[in-house]
Amino acid sequence: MDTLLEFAVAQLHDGQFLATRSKGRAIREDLEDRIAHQQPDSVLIDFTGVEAMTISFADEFLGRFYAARAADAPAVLLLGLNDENATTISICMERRDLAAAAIIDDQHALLGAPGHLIDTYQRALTLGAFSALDLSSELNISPQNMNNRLKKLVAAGAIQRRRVVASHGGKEFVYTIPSHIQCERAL
Amino acid sequence: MRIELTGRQPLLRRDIRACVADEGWLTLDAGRLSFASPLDLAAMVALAHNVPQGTRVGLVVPRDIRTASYLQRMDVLRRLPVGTEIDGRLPEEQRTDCSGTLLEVSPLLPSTVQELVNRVGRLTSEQLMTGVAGLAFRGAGELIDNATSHGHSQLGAFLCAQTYTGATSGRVGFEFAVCDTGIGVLAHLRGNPAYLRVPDSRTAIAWALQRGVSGTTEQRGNGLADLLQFTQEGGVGRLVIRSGHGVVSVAQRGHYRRDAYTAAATGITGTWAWLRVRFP
Repeated sequence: MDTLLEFAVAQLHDGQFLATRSKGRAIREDLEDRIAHQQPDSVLIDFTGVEAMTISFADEFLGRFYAARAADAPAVLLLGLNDENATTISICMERRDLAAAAIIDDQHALLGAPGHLIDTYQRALTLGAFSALDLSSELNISPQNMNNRLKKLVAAGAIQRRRVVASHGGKEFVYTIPSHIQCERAL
Repeated sequence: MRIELTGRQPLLRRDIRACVADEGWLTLDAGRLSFASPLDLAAMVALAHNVPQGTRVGLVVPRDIRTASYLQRMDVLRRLPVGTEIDGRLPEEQRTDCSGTLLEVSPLLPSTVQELVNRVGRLTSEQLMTGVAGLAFRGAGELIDNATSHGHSQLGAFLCAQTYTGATSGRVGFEFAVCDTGIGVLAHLRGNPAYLRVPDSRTAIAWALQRGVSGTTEQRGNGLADLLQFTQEGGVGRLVIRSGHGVVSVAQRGHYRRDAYTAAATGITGTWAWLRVRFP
């Protein structure tokens, strides 16, 4: 069973209203410390109770967090965002050419992502586990193009990648939807 | 030095009326003050704290009893430096809880910043409609962030805010001011080698309002540009930033925006920012 880290921003950091970069830095460092200590497979960042945040705060917390993510870092899902906070995070992610997976109104969303990446993510969600070739055939685009898209989804923590031995004997990557996202889908 | 605070919102005007007088003193002469904005209040306190060592501070109380009461209610007198000499008669104070509409002049320090952010958040969320409340908070929040991150100094900064229900004007509104005593926009911007040759404060503020311009070399610098987003919801807003000798005013209504960049005869230390938003 995958290990899960739940990080409730408002509860842990007096976070009903969030404005400053220094606050964003403190919360990010706390989250990074917890990830380093617990080494979870997946992280749920819960914004329930956060009424409003500035773009500067969001950038210092999430913009930098996502920008520094390694390819093998745990998957990440954002929860509990109201419409305004989802917009704020989208702006922040878009400026950094990043994306963040989230559940908004019980629907999967990819904040800050362009349309083609959202389409890819939505298709990936229906497949669960797949190779780049599978998905490129599904969406009728080149494997190289699909690899670029999947790289961005892995960077967003929206999907996970692992190397496996292919049926023909070589090595290839298999992509999966993290188990915590599957759980959220089940809900 | 004597600073004359006369008429309505004197510290929002381009030129601050300052004269060389009262050697060894800073006198804030509010005797003829008739109306004060949150910026006037926060700036008065910031000016009083930001004096050379050994300088004494005096306040001439407004002769207009309502204005004097307002200064008192908004904690201007309480926040002046210890030992400030008060000249004039203060009305008897009858303080009621207005925490839902007012944020009195308050020192913005690392130890108080989150509490004040929460106060501003509650002010906006309780008084403004959903949607515009978040936009107003984000505007004020960006200014608080600037004051704490770029305007840091030992003296700190002072902020003040008020919401308007629209009972008299017919328009719901929010007014916010923060006055820091830090290095100012010009010196901060020059911290980034790309802006080392910015010639003066007026130009520096104009640059700082552009997207992606920062005094750091990091990928940031959108705070001030983001600040006027409330106009997306049909709001009308005005932002005034004063730093050094530079004064910049930005008025925005929908997609229409008017910027005015001027140089003031009297400069200030640090940065003052005032944001007013009104919603239909």
